[in-house]
Amino acid sequence: MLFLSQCINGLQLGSIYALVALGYSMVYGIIRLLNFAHGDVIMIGAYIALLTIGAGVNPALAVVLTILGCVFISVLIERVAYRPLRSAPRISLLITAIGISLLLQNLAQLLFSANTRPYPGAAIIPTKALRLGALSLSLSTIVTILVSVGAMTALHLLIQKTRIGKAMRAVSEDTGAAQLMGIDINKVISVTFAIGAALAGMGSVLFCCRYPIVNPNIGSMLGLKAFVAAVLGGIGSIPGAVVGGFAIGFAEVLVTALGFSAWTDAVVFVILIVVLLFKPAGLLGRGVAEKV
Amino acid sequence: MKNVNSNMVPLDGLGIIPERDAGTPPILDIRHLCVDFGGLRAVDDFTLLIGKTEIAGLIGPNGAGKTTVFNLLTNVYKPTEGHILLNGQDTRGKSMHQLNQLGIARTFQNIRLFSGMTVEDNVKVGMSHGYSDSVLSAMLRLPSWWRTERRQHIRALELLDLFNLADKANTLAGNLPYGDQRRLEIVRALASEPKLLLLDEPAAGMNPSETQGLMENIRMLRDEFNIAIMLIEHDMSLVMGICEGIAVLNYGKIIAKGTPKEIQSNPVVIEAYLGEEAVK
Repeated sequence: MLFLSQCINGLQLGSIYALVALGYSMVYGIIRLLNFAHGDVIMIGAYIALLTIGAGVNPALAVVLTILGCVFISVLIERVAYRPLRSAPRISLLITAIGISLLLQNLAQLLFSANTRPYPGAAIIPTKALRLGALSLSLSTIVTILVSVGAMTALHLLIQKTRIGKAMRAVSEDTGAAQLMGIDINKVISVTFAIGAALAGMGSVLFCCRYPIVNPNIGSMLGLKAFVAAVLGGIGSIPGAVVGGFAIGFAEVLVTALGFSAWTDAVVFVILIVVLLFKPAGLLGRGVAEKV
Repeated sequence: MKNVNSNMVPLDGLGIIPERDAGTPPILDIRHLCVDFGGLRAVDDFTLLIGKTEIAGLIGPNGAGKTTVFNLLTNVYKPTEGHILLNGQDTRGKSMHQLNQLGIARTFQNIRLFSGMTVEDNVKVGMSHGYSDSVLSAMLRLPSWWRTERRQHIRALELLDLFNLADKANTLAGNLPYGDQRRLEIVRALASEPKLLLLDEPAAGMNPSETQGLMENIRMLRDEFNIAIMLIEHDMSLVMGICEGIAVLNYGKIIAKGTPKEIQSNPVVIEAYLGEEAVK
């Protein structure tokens, strides 16, 4: 029974990582950028929920505002910071992404102070425990898993079935050829950032319901771990991000259950090192043959 | 083959176009096009007219700048000087996808299909303009979404059928045999309903009987869709067999323009291909 409840625990944490990892992987697939500001968008989302609920806004509406806020900020970042560097070397983009990440963290510190504040998680998902036989599940666990699975299914349908999804796949395979076939790449990139940010917004709410504290740095560790998940699954691969997210979630829960909770972060980064050493393309990534 | 062997007539002293196109403005009007890469002038003073339903050939030795001309026509490169009028519109400053919408589509010398997508989806990507699609209507499966979906499906199969690819619609493009991949690139380009189709070495790697089939296909496209086709090709049987006007490029400069007959007997062309010795 302990094993089963730990599995469900891993499922919950894993689905949050998967939601965030999807944003990394989608953006990487489209413009080959590791968007290190992605985690900090989640932090901004947490403040939006905190402040709106604090101001008396209906929690359901606050969740919608959080998601919309994340989308707005992400699309804005792409327009202002990344788009002008479209044809610049990849390393310039990467450094810009790190810069934006630091900018968001410091901006949040300036606006909201560096103090850790409690997140109104209970207002969004009531703290209730459901009993299934001997198994006790919190409501937030169930909501997290259901919402994540729902969002991932919707994303899968969007990418496989819609015309914008087809355009996204085409751009990720060959940007130049896609443009010459009449695809407006700016639109595709904006949509990709928007979708990634919407998933991050959901991730923000679900993550903060699990760990109900907010400070300007909460996004960086979550972002880094989701990044490891994306790399583990194969960066650029959508199913890879999901697989990687769940793998990292389970690994963390396993390490904690074995009594080494202080080591969880270390284990995640050891996984990153091992993947980069032995299977740099990730579990489901496409290997890139080196050109001679 | 109603259009074959039309006489070529001069237009504005700039070039020649097929007689049947003489009443309509040329689809492509290129004047004094130049592009520099660093200190190298890759294309120099390129001037060419292409009639509305002409099949035109661009030939020349390797490295002459033929693909560079295609890249200039599709705004992959920006010209240093000169200008291009596509159907009367200046293409300067247009983005690549806008040019596609203005009626230009192309294939690539080294095949650039979306190899992880199905044959049908490759063709549908080519149809991306002209069909508006909101994410919402797709998620909710609104009737408008189904209508567009069905229209695209039928159209894609029609186009694939022209090249006997319809039965492979669900195969991944990367798994097609080489010849089929070349043909699929043409179908994908056609899907955007171009007025001018640029084919970059369509017969490369094909055997003589496949090349023969391709020639018939290219003629059929021109007659069926009433479009202009400009092709780069090294296979002289194909070029001389279907092109009405031919331009010969060497070191970025046009060294000869004319009908296949004129090109074949032009000593400057023979020299460029075979060297000075052969002419003597």
